[in-house]
Amino acid sequence: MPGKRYRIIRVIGLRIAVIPMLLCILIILGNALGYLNPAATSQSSAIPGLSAAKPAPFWHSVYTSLVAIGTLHWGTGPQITRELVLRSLEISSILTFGSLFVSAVVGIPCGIFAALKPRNPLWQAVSAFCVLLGQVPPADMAVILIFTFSLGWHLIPLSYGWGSVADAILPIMTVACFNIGYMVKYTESGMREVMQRSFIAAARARGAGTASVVAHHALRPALTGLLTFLGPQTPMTLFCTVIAEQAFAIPGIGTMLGIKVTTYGAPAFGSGTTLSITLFIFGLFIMVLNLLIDIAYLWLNPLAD
Amino acid sequence: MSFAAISDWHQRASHGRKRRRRLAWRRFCRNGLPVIGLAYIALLFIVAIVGPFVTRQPTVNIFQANLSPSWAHPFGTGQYGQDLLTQIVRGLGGTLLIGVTGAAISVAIGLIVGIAAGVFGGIIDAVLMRFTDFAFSIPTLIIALFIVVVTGFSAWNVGLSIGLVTWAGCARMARGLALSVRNGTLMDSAILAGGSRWYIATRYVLPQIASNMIVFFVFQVASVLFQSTTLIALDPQYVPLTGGQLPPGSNLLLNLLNGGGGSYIGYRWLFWFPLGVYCSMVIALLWIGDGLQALLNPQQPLPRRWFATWPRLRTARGARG
Amino acid sequence: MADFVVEARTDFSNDVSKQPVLEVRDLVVQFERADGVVHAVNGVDFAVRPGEWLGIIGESGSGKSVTLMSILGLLGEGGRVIRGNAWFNGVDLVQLSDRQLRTVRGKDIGVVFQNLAEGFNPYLPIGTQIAEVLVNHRLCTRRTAHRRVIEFMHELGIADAKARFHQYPHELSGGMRQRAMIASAIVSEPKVIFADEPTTALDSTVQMQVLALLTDICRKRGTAVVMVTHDLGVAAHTCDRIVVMYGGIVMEEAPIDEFLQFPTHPYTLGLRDASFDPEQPDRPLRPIPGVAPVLLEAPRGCPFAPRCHMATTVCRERLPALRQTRPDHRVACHHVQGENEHEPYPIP
Repeated sequence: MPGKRYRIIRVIGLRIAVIPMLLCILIILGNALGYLNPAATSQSSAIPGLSAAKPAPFWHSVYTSLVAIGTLHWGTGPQITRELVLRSLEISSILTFGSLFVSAVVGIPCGIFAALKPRNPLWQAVSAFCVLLGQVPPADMAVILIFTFSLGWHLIPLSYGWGSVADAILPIMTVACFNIGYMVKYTESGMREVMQRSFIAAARARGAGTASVVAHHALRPALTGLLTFLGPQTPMTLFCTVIAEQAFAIPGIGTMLGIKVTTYGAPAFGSGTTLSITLFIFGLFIMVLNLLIDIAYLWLNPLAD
Repeated sequence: MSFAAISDWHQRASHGRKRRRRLAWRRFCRNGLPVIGLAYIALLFIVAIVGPFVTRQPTVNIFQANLSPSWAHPFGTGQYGQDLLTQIVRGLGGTLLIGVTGAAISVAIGLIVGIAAGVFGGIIDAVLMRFTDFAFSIPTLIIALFIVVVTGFSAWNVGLSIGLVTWAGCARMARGLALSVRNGTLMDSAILAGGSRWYIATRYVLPQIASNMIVFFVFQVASVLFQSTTLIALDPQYVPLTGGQLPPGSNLLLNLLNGGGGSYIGYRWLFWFPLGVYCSMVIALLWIGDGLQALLNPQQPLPRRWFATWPRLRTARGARG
Repeated sequence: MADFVVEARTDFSNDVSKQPVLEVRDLVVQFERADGVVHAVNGVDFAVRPGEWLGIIGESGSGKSVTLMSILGLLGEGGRVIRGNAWFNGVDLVQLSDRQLRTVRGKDIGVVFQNLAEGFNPYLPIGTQIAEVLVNHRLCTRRTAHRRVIEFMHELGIADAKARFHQYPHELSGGMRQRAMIASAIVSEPKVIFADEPTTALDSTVQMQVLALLTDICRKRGTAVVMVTHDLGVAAHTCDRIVVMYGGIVMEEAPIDEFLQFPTHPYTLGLRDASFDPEQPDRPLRPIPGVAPVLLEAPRGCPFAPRCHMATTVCRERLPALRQTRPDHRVACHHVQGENEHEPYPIP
């Protein structure tokens, strides 16, 4: 269908075109917020005997952050080099996408079975457990996983840092636990809703079995429902990744940017610049994730426009 | 040539208000979980309100550090000998405050934006929705963290900052609902009757979407709590090693959560009790939300009552599907 | 026991050579709902002979659609068949498991649903869904199914069938969608078709086209049709025999000519008075007073008694049985004289 394909390409092209604009807005927003920070404006007066330097004009800090982002060369203290930036981006995307993949593979079937068997206590328990997993704070989840899988059952060697495949398992599980919670919940409710609709009865009247009804008829509408809920969750997925990086001492973007109050409270090299670089990186991540979700949505749903 | 008298299943004289209320209660109860959740949350609110008057500020006593749970200290004691139960009871109020404030602010902003976009339409709709899309793609917690830094750390400010950045979902939902109301014939009749935009928004749209917004609010409280745990975990400054002295105004249950591994090995109660209270609180909220959602969808068939009173049916074929 | 059933079946049909293709006996269906058990169907009997059009008419909520859906095991959540039989090809469909029923659905009994926008899956091309019957029952391969469906759509008067095959349901008009629905029911050449209000949502010109199409194609193939409708006009146009249902029981059953000339049951008379008759355009329409009941208790007396002007004590206390009044005309009313009875029912 050339019409459909053309429409999808146009919609996605528009979304991609908007991303740089939004990122520019984020950089300006970060610098503007940085000016609100009392710690940033009184930075020089901390040293006695020296008069406070005039704060740099607003456009200057915007320029600094644009240069920093453009050259991927951030920071003044321990040099944050280009290689380090790219490497940490790579590590964080492995964690984020890996956890999304794992939670989809585990969570969607669990949600489907829980929706199809409302009277089966086993599947109901599995679904309730998954929802509970999604509500445990990731910092605590990391502790529980370490003490269960590495120190308790000795299944995964305990290691901090990044290097081998084994290092990625527990962090990915930590983030996946958060994602599984809403994946199961929304797949289950979407599936329940779809199975009530009359085209399912029509499909069954044509002699389709339960497996065929689910696979051919119910799965796509249920997944489109899930995808609409997935978009707003992407920022939280990313922050869970940051927490997992902190817990497992992994050099991802969270660790590299050193996201904590001190970063913004006592600025390393101008708090506006730090903040806008952080917003830029995270905004880019979230926008790319949302773009992928939009593509999947358009691909799944023939009614979408 | 069709029948003149087409009847309606549902509108019968015998369906009194009392009967409807009883049905609504049964829908809410479903399998009993929402009622348990409601009772639990009510209990937590009572404890949070009464607790500070009944208990004293937890005192530091080095000689009673890290005691395991006993009758004197039901939840054990922390690193400096503070009673953990007292800490949890006194931290509960701030935590509930974060949830309620954050959810209320985000639902309020979302409602205003969504209803304005839905009722006015046209260019206002376009601008507000682009703004909402932008709000969806910003890293919310970084901005919330920054607001907390600028305004200072307290329960109010944490709730405020999270509420200010998480309204986008509510706005999108409110707009969808407002549009569905606007496209109905009721709206046409209101416009024909000469109602102003403000009148339509407050008298027609708001009452119709209010029930959905209440459900959204309950789920939003759970979501805000989860986000505030992440927010607090992002910042090691306010996460003292378990049981450490907390800065004033920040004695939150959430601060006890990020206990770290040290307490897990030796002093497990310091890890599991705060986590258990927090998780049970959030799960109870989700149960209430599920019950309210069942209330909103009367078409959804109810599962069989656990204590069914009708006679056992002799079935030739069971229910399918 | 089995002898009795066979006897009953031969007894029912006066033409022994035309054995009923589907025979429903004493079907009882109940729904569990929040406010109690709904007695949707309370003992329905009817039979469909090969090639015959049977119309089931009644108000909404009288259990027409539920009867058909329960025969195919397509009741939703909470619906149960309490007792009864549905003999088809010498097997009782009510006793079959879901897996066994699956071989009957679509292949031996096709269903034409009401033309809601929901009748087809909005996420799949229409042709795929029509071909699904053939593929599900392994009647042919996917590729032959594709060809056969296009041929069949052409036969049904769907212009440009090849392009339509790949279109989604929302891209078709209501009439087209209903044709496609008919195609999906008939493409596997079933013996019986259940048509559940097939033309209700269409406007009257399209309605007549679709009905003519359905009649034409079923007469050609000798397919029996059970059509549920609440439109007396549609039923009078197309059906050979009429079953009137009210409150989950059969009120009257008669061949169409007999039904139109000598309606007997007070409810049928009420229906006639309530609908427009082109031959007597000046006659004022008289609606039946009251509303249809929600059957939260099993009906003790005649379910129509509260709205019936002839109701007496016996009507409220005893469920009337279907009795033969003329050859092939059966009525369930205490006040109607049976064929072999000289006195009306004794009224205390």
